Amino acid sequence: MVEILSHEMPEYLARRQAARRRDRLVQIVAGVIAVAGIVVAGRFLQPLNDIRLENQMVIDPDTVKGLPPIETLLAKTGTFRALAIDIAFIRAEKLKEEGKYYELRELADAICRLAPRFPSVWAFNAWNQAYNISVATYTAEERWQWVNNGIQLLRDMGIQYNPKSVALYKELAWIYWHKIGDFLDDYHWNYKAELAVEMERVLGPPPPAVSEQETIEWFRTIAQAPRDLERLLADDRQVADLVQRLDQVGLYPDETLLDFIAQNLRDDLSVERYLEALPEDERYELRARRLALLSDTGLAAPRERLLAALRSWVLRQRYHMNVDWMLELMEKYGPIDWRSPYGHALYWSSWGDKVTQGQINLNPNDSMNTVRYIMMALANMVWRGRIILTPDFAHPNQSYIELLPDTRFIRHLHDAYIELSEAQFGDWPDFRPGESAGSYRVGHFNFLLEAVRQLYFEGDPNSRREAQFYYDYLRRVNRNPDGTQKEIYLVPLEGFVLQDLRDAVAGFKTANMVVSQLIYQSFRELAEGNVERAVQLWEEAKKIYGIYMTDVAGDRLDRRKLERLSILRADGLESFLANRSIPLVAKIRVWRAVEKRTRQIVWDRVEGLLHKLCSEHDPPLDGARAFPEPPGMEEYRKNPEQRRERGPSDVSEGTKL
Amino acid sequence: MARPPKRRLTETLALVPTAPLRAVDFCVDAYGGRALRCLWAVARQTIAEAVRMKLAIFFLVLLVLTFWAASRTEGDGTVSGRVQSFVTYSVTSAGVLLAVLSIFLSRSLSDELQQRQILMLMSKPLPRWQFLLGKWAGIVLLDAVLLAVTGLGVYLTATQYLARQTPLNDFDAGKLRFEVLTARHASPFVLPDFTREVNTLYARNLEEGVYDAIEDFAPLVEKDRLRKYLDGRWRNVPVGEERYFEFANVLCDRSEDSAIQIRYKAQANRYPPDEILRTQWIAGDRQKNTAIAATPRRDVIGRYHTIAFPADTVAPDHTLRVRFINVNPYAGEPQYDNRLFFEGPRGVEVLFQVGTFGGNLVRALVMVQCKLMFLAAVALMFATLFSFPVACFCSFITYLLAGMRQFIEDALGSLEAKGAVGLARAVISVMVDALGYVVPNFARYNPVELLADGRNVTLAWALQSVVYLVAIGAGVALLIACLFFYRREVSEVSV
Repeated sequence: MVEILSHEMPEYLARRQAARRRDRLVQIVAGVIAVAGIVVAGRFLQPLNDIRLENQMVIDPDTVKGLPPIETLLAKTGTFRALAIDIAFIRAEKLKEEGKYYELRELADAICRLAPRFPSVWAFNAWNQAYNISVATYTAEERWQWVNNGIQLLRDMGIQYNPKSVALYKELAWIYWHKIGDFLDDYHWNYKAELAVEMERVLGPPPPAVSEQETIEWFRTIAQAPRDLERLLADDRQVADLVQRLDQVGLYPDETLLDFIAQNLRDDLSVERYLEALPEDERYELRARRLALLSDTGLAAPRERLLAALRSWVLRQRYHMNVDWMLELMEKYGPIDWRSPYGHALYWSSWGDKVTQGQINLNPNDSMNTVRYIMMALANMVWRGRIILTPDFAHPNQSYIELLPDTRFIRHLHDAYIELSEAQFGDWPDFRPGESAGSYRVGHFNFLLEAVRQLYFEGDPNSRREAQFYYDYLRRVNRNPDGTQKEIYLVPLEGFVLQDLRDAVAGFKTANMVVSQLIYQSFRELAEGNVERAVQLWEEAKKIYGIYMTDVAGDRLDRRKLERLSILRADGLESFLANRSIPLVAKIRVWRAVEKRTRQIVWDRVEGLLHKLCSEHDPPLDGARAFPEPPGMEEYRKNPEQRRERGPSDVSEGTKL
Repeated sequence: MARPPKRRLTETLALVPTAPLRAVDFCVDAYGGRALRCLWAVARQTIAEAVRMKLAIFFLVLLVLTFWAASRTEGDGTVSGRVQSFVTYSVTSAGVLLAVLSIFLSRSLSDELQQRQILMLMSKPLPRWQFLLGKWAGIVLLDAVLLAVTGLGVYLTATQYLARQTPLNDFDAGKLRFEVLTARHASPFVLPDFTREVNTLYARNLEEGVYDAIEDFAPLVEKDRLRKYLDGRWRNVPVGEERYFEFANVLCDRSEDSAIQIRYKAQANRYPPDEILRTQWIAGDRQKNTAIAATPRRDVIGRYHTIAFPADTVAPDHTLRVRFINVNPYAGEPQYDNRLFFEGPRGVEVLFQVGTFGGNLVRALVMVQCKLMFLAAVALMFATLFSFPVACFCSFITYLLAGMRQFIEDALGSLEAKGAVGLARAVISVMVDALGYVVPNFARYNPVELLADGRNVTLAWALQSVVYLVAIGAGVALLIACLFFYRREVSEVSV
């Protein structure tokens, strides 16, 4: 028994026990080290995160809009995400090469959703759709769809997920400025018309013949309208009543109401074709009720409040535009027409510049190019910022659109050159306050040379004074390197403007500007009673028009051709009549002096405006007597002056010979 | 005498889905031999099990959901684009979902082995090969039924719903009718016979002693080289020159209101500033008294483009002559110095209608079904060897490899041949080549793109997939499965 109790543990069991104890000890020590490591690492985490935040190496959740659930989910797919992106890219390229575009939009969408925080992916896909794919399609509608797809991809998604990426703003501004706004694409007129009609659906036709300040005030009502529609309906009894009454005639406070107003509450459009969906009696009756309600002067105030709030809502929600910034831009740069692609280019470039201020990891080239678009957009507003639009809401790309020079932006662009030069080159040793500098200097002087010419041809005393101001500025600032006066400035203003006029009309832009301004100026001379001078200017316009059109006679696409001269003359008359700064008596004098045909062309477009001007005059005038309807209007309407068709029908199928 | 209890309406309706099975029961009982009856009994049991386990219903719901999602795609914004997107996504997703279903259904064999249910069956006079074949037949029958339902849905949605949306413009309407909801045959142009020129050139070179210094000179190889050189030169069209492309066997309807299409892709040696080629195409043959049609073109370089010509430009002997002129026909637009070339057999081809969208869809679905049959056989083969998770994993890997083989081959082709990358490429290439003997290339039997593009899915192609995927692929897989199954001890304890 004693033997048994005193029996020692076999050696192998003792070893195993010892080994187990040793293992346990190792495990405990390892566990303690691991816990200690985690605790120590945890203490480093916050400082590291602070450094990453400070150096903008992480997305700041306070400033970046969170991703929707589907994108978040896709972004968590790890390694498979890269594989999926590769496969989608390869497939997209293969389909593109084979001319199969039907799946490309979805593929681009999928690629972007898989890499939502990678700006280059958004920029590439938007550019691919707007540029590469659009030109490979054959009809105006398809082309616009692809251009618009590119815009929407950036504006509605890419920028929303990457608001601090200046490259995306630059790309979007470029599409507006170059693809839509420039004249290189065969279908650029169609794009311009599509965009203009789209924006007119939202904002309605711009207020006619108002001053710069009045236009800004008109937009201020939109910018300052209540942001919450439901709150407006709850707080404003009159608006709530109006909405209730609109509901009874089948109109609701959304985009459809804006669309109805844009299409129906205008003087120069026939609306019958928009009412085809309803039986005849019903639709006329319903339309009459709707129009009566919307034209009721007693409801004007709540209607305007409702429309302003709705417009603000659509601009913010659908177009993702900041209405306060839009207003700020108008206050800073002038009465921007938001139907113009240059307005949008200006908005996105300036907004991008604003929201990316203070970013550390900006590509300096992207940043500078974005700022350049501000000036490029303003320059285009000077050359073709005034829009004449006869919208065709059923086929927007077939709307008539003409872009005329707008000298109101000259001052703003001149100021922008100086201001942005100071911001970007202010620390250069040779920088002089009040002057442009660096890479902006030559562009600034070239712009002013054109501006002086344009202002001179406007002819009214204010414009001439402004032309003289800029001419003097050029003489003072744009000197030879040795400080002496340049030879071109040794002549007086008039001599400077006329000396190389012919050489200057080689391009569409200048030719359009010069011919339009000469026509406009001839009306001004006519208003002053200078018939001989008016005829001279008109003859000069015809001559320049002839020279230019002979040069571009072979342009089958009509890309660079000017509008018919009779139409240009009518447009010039319309601009003249709409100019608020011209006295009404002068307009009456011109109306009586102008030939019948030109009056017939513009009559339907200006009748409402002229009667409004007469009624607003102090004392009120009889519109019918002051501006009588041109004789033979019924006959004319049957066979109206045809505008030049813009945009070729390029669906080229085999035609039998 | 008591009347039999009246059958309720719900009970009667519940019989409707099983009616086809009962019909097959009746036929097999009446006309089938013992083997067929055994086989059908197992197949029926497999289908019933899939229905009972709600697996088939679950996948049917998934199919409906993907179908709905596919019908919501916008495509490129045109109606024709929407139809193309819908057809692509719906048929592809149906193929993928049913492939997954086939793999899951093979679990019944693994389960029966694991849970010993098979012991009861094995005690019956049922040969193992009949049991295996019956399982396979059940899976493929269920696939076929679900695929047929999908096909009907695709057809009705494409032709009766999507195609009736308002087209973007006339071009869109025409494209939908003539290029999407149709079946067009593509025929390449007939290359000129260069034999005489080759012989002349060869004789001249021989005479001038050009080949004297070449060791191991092979006349046939040299003649082939010369033929390729002349072919390449002919395909090059310098500015101001023209080419006649001849097509044979254009078996189309030559009526005036019909159309044929020429599809081409031109490359240029130098890109014009706007990257647009300005050329002219003329179809027809005056010598054969056909109509002549011409069209000036502005095309993006390096992409496929399609132009339509009236069908009466085709000669009565079903030949077509198309003249291509490398001269800018647009007045006022500059003529750039672009040498153009049409690469490969698909550089220029004629497309003409040979069938309907419905027929095309049926043939395409047959090809999808062939893939499912192969996959079902492979899944059963693995199920005879492994437990369900392993068998399932192996089947999915096979499916992925078959689906991605073409992609892998293409990706390997784009890798560098030198250095470490080259070594990796060589190793992977050997593996992929070895894989080629085991796993078929599903991309070779993918009819979806042609279907969406309104191109004919030929009967010969469909039959080819029947032979390669079903007769050979599935046949071999089932044979191996039988071998494994016969050698397997079914009463062995497995965990």
